[in-house]
Amino acid sequence: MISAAIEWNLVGEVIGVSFAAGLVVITLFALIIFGSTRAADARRAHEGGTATAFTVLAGVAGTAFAAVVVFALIVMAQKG
Amino acid sequence: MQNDLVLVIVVVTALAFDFTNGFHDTANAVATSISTRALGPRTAVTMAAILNFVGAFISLAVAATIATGIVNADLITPEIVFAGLIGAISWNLLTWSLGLPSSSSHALIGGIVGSTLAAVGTEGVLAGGLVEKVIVPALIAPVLAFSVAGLGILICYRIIGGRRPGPVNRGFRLGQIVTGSFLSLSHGTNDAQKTMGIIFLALVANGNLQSSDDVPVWVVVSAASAIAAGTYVGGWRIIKTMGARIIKMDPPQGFSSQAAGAAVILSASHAGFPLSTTHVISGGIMGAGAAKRVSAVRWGVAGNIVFAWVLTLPAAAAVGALTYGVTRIFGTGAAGPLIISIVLLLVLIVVMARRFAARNATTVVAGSGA
Repeated sequence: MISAAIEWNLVGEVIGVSFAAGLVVITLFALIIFGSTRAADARRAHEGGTATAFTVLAGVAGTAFAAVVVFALIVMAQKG
Repeated sequence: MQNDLVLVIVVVTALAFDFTNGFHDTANAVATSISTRALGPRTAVTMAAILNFVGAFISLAVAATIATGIVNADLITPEIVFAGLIGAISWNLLTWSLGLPSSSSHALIGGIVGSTLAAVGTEGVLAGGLVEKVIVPALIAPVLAFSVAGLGILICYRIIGGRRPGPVNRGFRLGQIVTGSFLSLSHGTNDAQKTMGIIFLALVANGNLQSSDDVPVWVVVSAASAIAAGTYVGGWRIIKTMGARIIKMDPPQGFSSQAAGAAVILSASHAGFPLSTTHVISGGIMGAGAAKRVSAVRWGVAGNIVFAWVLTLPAAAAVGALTYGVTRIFGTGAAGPLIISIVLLLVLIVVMARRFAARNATTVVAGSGA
């Protein structure tokens, strides 16, 4: 009876979304750091093309990270 | 008149609980940021206090009441709520004095369940709701956050492996400001609502409001202010435990544990699944530490924390039940809650004064020895 009261599909959803959201956020931020530090190293080594490529990587990851943050704020506000 | 006096006592006690909730849970948002020096201690708690205050205004629909589905709301009286709050406050103060992070929500639920059991017996408690809303989330939350943070830090180290630590650490410290802010904001949206719900419930029970009415502005502002003030005071003992005693943390670990915590809390909150922020963040910290090296986690400290989690519900329930029993000795009016409030306030003042005196004596001795 108690087991029936537990919404297992909800539990599964929370686990799945938590894993997806958490890992996406952490990966995106790690890519920002990776891209920006590699770009800085490449600029110091006067490798313009490589620096640009890593700057773009950091920029794309940063944009995606910012989008996730905005989405999370919207989710938080919509709770009410 | 007597009912109004009981209502006033319940409102003040609810705000006192909200204050302890704030300082007890400050660590959830700021401990890792302070530990990795992403933020200075005072800056971190000030930011957390402001975001908790703002968070309390973001969503009001949740202010139904934390006890919905766990106890039979029709049988609840202001005296039961009062006794439950005393149970929760007592447990929060005890765990704070021991530096142990424990769930304020579980303390509140435990207190209310205990006082309800003492007042109306088992028919007042909904066992299915207790399992669904308390026991299952308490088992899932830390394990889930542990796993997400653990996997996250492994991915993180894989991506940034071999990079110079200086710029990497600076970057993750910036990230921690974002994730820590999220945790503070979500704490405000969740935990301040509990107090609003309790006060709203008392106002309805006293006939001042209908259950269909909106939450009055003064309730929202007072609950937001109490949790923000508590957060600003800062539960430094628990901050120390979470920030430095479970693992020695680097900025990527701090970021991973906070990001995992924020993801789990938001996912659960969106699905309407109640999780304790304390369980989530503690689990995240342990996961970020264990993934790097299992022995990096001080499992003795972690064991004490888990032991406190297990004890939270029954201990708060026992105090709640005891408080209700003592209240009834003085009859059904305001006398019981009033006398208990005064006695507990006096005890608190004496304990704080003795602590203050002991600290001053230590400072004087240290000063004269220098």
